[in-house]
Amino acid sequence: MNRILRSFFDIRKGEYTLALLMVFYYYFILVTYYFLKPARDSLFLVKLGASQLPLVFILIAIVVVPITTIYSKASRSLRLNQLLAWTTIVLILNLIILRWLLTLEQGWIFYLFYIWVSLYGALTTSQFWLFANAIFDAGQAKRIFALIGLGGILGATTGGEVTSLIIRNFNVKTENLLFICMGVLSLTLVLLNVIWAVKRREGEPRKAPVRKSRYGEEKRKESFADMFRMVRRSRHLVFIVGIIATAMMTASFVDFQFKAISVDAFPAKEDLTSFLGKFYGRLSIVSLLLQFLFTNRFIRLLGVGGAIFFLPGGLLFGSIMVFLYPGLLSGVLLRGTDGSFRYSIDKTGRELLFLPVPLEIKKRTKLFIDMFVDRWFRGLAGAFLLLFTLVLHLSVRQISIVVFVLLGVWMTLALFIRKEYVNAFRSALEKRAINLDELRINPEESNTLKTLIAALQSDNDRQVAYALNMLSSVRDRDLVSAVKPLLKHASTEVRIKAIQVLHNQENGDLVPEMEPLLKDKDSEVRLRTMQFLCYNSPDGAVEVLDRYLKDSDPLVQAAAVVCAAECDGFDEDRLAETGAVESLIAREGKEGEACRIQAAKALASVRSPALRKLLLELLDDSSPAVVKQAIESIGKTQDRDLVPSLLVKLSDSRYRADARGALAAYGDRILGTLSDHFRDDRVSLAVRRSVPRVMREIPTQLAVDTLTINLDVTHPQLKYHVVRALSSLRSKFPDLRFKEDKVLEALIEETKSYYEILQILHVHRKTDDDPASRLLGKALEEKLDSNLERIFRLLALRYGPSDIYSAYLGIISGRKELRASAIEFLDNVLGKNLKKYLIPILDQVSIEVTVRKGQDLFQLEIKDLDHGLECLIRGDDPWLKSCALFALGESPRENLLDLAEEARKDPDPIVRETAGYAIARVRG
Amino acid sequence: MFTTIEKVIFLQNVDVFSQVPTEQLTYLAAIAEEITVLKDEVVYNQNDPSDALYLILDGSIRLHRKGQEITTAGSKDAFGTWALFDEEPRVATATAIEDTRLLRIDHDDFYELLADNVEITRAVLRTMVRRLRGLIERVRVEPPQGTS
Repeated sequence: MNRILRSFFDIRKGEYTLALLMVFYYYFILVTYYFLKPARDSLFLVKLGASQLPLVFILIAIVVVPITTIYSKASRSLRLNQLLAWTTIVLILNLIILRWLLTLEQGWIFYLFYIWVSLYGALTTSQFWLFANAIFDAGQAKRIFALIGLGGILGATTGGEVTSLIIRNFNVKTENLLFICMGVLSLTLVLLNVIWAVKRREGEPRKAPVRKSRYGEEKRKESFADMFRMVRRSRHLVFIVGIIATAMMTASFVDFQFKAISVDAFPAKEDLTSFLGKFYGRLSIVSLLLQFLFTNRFIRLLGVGGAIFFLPGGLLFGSIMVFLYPGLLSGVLLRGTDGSFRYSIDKTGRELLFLPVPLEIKKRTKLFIDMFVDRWFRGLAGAFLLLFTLVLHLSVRQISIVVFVLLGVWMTLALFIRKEYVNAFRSALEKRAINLDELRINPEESNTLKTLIAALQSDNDRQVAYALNMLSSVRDRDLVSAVKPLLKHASTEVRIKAIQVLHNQENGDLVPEMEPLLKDKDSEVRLRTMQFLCYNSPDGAVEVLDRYLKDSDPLVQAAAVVCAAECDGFDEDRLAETGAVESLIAREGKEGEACRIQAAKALASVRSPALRKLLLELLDDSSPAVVKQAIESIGKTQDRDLVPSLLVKLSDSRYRADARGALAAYGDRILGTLSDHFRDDRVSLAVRRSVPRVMREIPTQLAVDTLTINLDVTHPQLKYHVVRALSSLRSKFPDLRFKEDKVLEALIEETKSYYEILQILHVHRKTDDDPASRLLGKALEEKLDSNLERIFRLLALRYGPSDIYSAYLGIISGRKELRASAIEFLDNVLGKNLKKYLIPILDQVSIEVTVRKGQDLFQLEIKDLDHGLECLIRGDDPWLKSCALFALGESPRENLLDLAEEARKDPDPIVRETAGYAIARVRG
Repeated sequence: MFTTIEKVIFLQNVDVFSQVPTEQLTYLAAIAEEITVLKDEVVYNQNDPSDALYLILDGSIRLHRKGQEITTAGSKDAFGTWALFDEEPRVATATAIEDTRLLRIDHDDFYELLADNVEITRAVLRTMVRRLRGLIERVRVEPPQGTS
């Protein structure tokens, strides 16, 4: 099974389970929809007649707004899996109610059912793809989504065919199809939970980072006018929107014609349901066949310009047939053309039209189409249909004339966009405006391909590399001759990409031309060449690697070592036996560094503990580049035995960022170890300080929970880093949950600390003005500031970052009116329990009042400066401790000498040093 | 030998570090090397590469160019500050007027510290921006000569 999947869909090791589960999930969703769709149509048409269809089209356009609003609100407050689960449960409950309502046989119920099924289709499929995007990254999506799409088509076919079968053979009433749907939907609920559990075992599902300010997220809200202006600025976008709008209106007219013809042909409910089930099911098969067998060929042959003519062309033929022979066959032909082309060749054509549109604009245009164009034009089509059928009493046949007009407009726009597309694509290529990470279709269309090949001649290296990037997954004979000269290009990036493009052509004839590149000055080029040779050489990978592992040139040998380590078919013991890795590590001199880097790179892919241990040797290499590569490789091995050596590197500023990345690559598995190190006083402060930064690069619930537990750390600097890590996760991943009780505890602890420092500052202000005293005063004030910052960061975890950050800015602005409105806002937002601690701090009428409030709340009383110094020296903040000890020494206080003696044993070196100084000063 | 905290008290006086929180100044104190120059000894010459900032702990330094005195720096004064931010050669010669103790912050150590400590970087940048804003304000208030 795996082999079959691999040969057709490029599903990779470790992806099978999730991919297959998702296929089944989508399959069952579509099965239910294709049960409901014929049931909806037949119940409506038989009970109310086709003449009521225009009205229901308008109603659908109207109700979409509140439904999508409610849905998007729900989606903000729920995790994705919860959202899907709850939506499914609500849909099952809806089905139960609807089934009961249908027994009442009242007109409005059929309207309701029709609208509900339409929304059901849109909702279930769109949230499925949302889920799929969270489960798979962009690279996986490109490979796996085709398979999932196939599952969907099979689901649609099954749904349609089974509907027809059971209605015909088992005498099942159309209304009772709803019971089957309830059962299948319950099955999807189970599948959803299994998928989520599997994904979590592999790592937390992806969450789209949200647009954010420093503290906040909040998506930008755009008005219709903004989006309209954006579309209007580009001729290309205007044409796209025009085509989509016309296509939507035409689809509504065609749908009406088909349904009117169908109900005439099958006046009995069960006959109609059976017919529609079969029709919709087979339509999916035709669509699938078209997509798999012809779409790519048509697109290659005719280009995007031809592809977008297919659907209107087919509809024109179908409409002529309906006009001439308005019977079931013509209706089937017309609606069949619409259904099969729309989701195959026309869909790909439309995707290609969007190719030159920058990602951000593409998203906004799609939003504009979903929010406005879709609704308005469907509604408009309904209104026109009302006019034509109820007022002008046009027949189905006469409506074809209106369809001709619409198709005329559509084709004219398609003609214009053909020219516009090439210009837009060329311009996007020059500006490198296409986001390659998000590119989910191959640019194999003839015009696009020609433009890309032409771009390979550009003088601009970046543009050539960019065009090669776009061509990386394209297979085309013309590419070989166009790309081959680039193997000698001056830019390393271009050479690398050129090898990649040629690699995909799977052309063994290129081997002799590639071999000289093994002597290239760049290690990546050498490596890619070695990979090319392994994959394409007629000798096979093992023989090629055996040969080059013995090569006299150490750099070629290094490339072979990396390749051998990464190659599934090359036995690791065989690699170990050659001793090639050790010989690379031992190499000194000019090439030594490059060899050791390659050795470190190779070791990322080996499993043998003996070979992996060599990474520890490389961690102490004299070359920073080698050490960095070794760190990265350790991260890739995910070997727990190597974690301690990575943690040590956190204390070295040269490698800290690399070590953080490598540790974060371990994900959840390492959080316990990280937490242990963080809490261990014997570990250096530099390492402990870095631990929350590592945790914040692991955006999972477990990371949040681990950080939250560590909020009780007493060292202020460490606490600050924990709070910062939490607020970073909060703003980037709003779906994560923060334990409210722990956050509240930490908040109260912070306010207590604030009141304490404020009291000490209050008694301190009454003392002499000498440098030591001034330093202590300044340090205390700074501590109050950082305390306040921590308080607000914690508040942001509870109340959302955006508003709390604005309030924080208001409080620290020093402007009376801003401060007042910030306090007013917090007074309304904060819970009673928090308010009593926080408001006195923020609304400082006078320092005396706030100090008294602190005394009442926490029974803290700092009697005088000596008491204050004592508290600081006994406290957890090493810097305040040092400043207090220094003040003690400068204005000698013999009564505190014992404390200074104790401080000489403090773990912090500055505290120890200052204690020694203070004691010497007091003793004269 | 000065303690870390004493060095912090001196470092507070350097304009460019005025926004750096005192606790973060301990990191600067850790890279600040205490040196002594004898009377008439040259700390650096004009056109020498700029490699460090100096802060006078006690004593005094004469800054001069081609025999002409530009200024005299005394205790708690800093000189050669711009050496931390660009690599232009020294514009003046610094000579000790008397035996002088200095804190010396090396250019490379400073950058390593900035790379590692975002709070210090932020504070230094804040000071620079304030200076720039001050200059812009002055230009606005005093329009160029010759315009009516």
